[in-house]
Amino acid sequence: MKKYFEFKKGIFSKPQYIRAVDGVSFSVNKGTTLGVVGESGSGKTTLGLTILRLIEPTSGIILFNGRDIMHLNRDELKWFRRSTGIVFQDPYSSLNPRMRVKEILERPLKIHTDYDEKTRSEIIVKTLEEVGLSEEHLMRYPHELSGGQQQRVAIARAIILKPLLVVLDEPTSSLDVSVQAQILNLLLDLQSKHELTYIFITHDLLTARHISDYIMVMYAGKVVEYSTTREVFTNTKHPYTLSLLSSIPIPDPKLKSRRRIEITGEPPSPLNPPKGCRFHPRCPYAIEMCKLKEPELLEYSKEHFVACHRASELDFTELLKDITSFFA
Amino acid sequence: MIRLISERIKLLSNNETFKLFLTYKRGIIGLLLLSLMVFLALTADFIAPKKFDEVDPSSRLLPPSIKYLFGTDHLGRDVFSRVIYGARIALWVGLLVVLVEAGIGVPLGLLAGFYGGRVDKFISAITDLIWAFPPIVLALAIVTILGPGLTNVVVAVAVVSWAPYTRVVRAKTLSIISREFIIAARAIGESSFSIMLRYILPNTLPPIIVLATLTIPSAILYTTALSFLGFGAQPPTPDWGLMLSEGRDYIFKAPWCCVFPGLFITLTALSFNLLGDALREVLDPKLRYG
Amino acid sequence: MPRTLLSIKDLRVYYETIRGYVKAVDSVDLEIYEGESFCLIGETGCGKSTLALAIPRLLPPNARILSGSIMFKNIDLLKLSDSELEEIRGRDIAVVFQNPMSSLNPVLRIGLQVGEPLVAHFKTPWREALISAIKQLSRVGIPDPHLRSKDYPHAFSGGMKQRSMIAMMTSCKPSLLIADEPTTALDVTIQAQVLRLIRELKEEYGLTLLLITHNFGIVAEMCDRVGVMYAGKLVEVGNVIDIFESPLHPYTKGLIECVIARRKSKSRLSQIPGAPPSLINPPGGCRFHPRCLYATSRCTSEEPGLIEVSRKHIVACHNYVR
Repeated sequence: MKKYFEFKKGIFSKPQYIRAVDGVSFSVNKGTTLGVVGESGSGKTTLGLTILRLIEPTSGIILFNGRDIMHLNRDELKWFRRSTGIVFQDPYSSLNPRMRVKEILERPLKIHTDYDEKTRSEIIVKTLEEVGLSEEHLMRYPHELSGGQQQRVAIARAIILKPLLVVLDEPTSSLDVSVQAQILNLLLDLQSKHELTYIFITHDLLTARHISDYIMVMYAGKVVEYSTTREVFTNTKHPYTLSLLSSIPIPDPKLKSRRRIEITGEPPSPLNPPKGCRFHPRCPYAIEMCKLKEPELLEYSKEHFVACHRASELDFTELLKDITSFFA
Repeated sequence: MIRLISERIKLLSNNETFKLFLTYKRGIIGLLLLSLMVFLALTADFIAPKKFDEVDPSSRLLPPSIKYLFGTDHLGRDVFSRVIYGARIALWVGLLVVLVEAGIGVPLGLLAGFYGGRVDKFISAITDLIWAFPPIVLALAIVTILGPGLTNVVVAVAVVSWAPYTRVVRAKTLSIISREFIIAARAIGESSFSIMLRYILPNTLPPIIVLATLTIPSAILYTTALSFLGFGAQPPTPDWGLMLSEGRDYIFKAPWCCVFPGLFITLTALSFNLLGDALREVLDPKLRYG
Repeated sequence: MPRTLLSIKDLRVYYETIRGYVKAVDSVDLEIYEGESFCLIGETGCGKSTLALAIPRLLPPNARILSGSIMFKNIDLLKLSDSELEEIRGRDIAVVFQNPMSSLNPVLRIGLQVGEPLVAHFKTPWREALISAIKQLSRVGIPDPHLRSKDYPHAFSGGMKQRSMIAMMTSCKPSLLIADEPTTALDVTIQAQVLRLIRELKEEYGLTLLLITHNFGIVAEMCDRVGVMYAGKLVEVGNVIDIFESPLHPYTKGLIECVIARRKSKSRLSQIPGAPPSLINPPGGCRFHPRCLYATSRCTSEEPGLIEVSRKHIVACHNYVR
């Protein structure tokens, strides 16, 4: 498999104080989805914006198709913009309220191609149809569309230039259950049709599990666990991942009284993360070492990275039996 | 800019914002008054019984009558005709001042809000400086340098009062710039210029329009004041301020020379204020359904 | 036979807007039993919050209650004056809102706010009220309640604000707690903590819980019975196992499948086509018929009433699916 997207080790932080994404390191293969899971303040959105160079990191290397995106010249940056797309959580806020759908979709074409008016229209209509809208929506303003339709327009804008990578930042979180399903189906269809690579950022493990090949769990700006979706859900290694899994409300009334590992306390402020392992003040398994030394993200088994001092001794399979059975 | 405004008006007429506007009585009164002024200004050549500079020494300072609706002035000119022609000047001046003000203030506000940092500090400092100056004094100083004349007055008034536009546009830009559609625009490769022009500017239009309706009356008042002081329009121009100034000497003998121009100044200013108030509430979504 | 605590009959709540009346709650009948956890579920704009907030009459000013009765402990709440209702609010019926940031008064210390209902309803002296406020704060899991009760809300995190809200709302030990999306604004781990707290308090105080949510996971974890709302109508009521395992209404069925199908990775989810209708001009007949796979000509013309299919399982559908 061709390495498509590479994010080499480095220290990522916004200027000065806020340490959003520290020492994150991972890679994404073409045509697959990486799910980035975390709570608010975990740095997952910052990570997404940094990958697309919409926020400048202070250091580190991001390789896209083998090229370091931090050192691109004008033409290369234009090529990079053309090859990537982004979809946000709130579809209304992500569309210019003063532009009609046609104009919203026409902008990328005008910036990056020299197609004539007719070709542009054809591409726009074709893309609209691909995302489940039609010509009749062309002249509408965003506020004249429903939330689901707005999100479809945002997706159309992201894929209209046939990009290689699309960052999806909570694309279904603000939508209703029935519409969420429509959008997830659409994203899966588009991915298999155009061999798109997704980075799917979410706080919802269930959605992440549904759409991702790989899952990366983040806590307070650090990656705590990274592996294949299956491995993360069945062979969970990090206590934080365990508590996330344990916290999601499972839509099955029979599991109401399952065993839960509930963690106390709240995520730390990104301004002032705890010393040592950032999770140790909330971790039920913390030992003295966790307060002193920050654990490195190490390959625990093949393709399974965990940042926990006790990764090799802790086994959560018994605790997660009920949840695993729900997914079986 | 004009295209955008006309687009905005087109948008108004067929959506519910317009319907909402119709629920504001003040706004409708303002709009009717303003329409009357515009109508007078446009049709002055047809409805004015006399030419504005038609002197008739035999009928000086006559009180209002059927023949001279608003009476005549010290040169025997028909005050009614002069007031009607005056509407043309007042509206034209008001519009011109606002265009010049917005032309200076809006780009500065956009730049300050968009780039922030040093650019913002520099622009904000100038804005504050202009704001802190008593406008009429500064305008007087500028007209003294430029020399009297209506065009110079327009320039002077605009130069002293663009600061509110910069402030409003800067604040609005700051609130828009963190919205996701701006990040999305960057992500598709839009240039900074394009983002300002296509994404931010159109979204700052509602407050600009409100501000314009609220600054036109003060622009009219300033220019009439300058004309009154003799710096603006020169005789025999039927400028309301100039008419006030000329009628001043006869205020007890022939009050109509001052009353009618004064009344029209007030009505015009009032019409814009009423309209502006209503627009502010209509165009501000936060106040809707409240 | 459980005793009925709250009985809503033919309730209609419309919102007056410039576009016309929004029929947010249209002829809804509902019974809630003493001591149970009842969940109202539905999508945005289906009227679930309006229905719940009509009970303590905490509706926005443009809401109009056009008909119906809300019997609470044999009193019709709709017939009470504002001041009579104020006595019941906070003492017998308490409400926890979605957004803890805006439901606490930013200029009052937390302790005062938590103790306030006691002073207002039982004329408890402030001294004692503050002591029980501290107790209450410690009960809901605020660390160092002595110190923290002197803080202002901005010093609290979202989760702690919601805990304080719950402390305040349960300080008078009400019989009915209405929780309107209480955890939607919170992170997953905090959500789990707050949900557990609500469960525990419910047991401890013998509360009846009316929970409004759009999350089927929360329904499954928290509730005994569920009411499903669609476009201003209650379309199905049943106990939680029945709703999950044998939903009768095509809408419920669709929603449940949307959620459950996520068991399989990368599978296509079954989906309900279209989007919920405008509540100004809802479709005639059954309001779900334009999106319904089983709609017949009868559904387009005749509005289905609530049918009791089995004991305690009620559905509003002409051809409910078994």
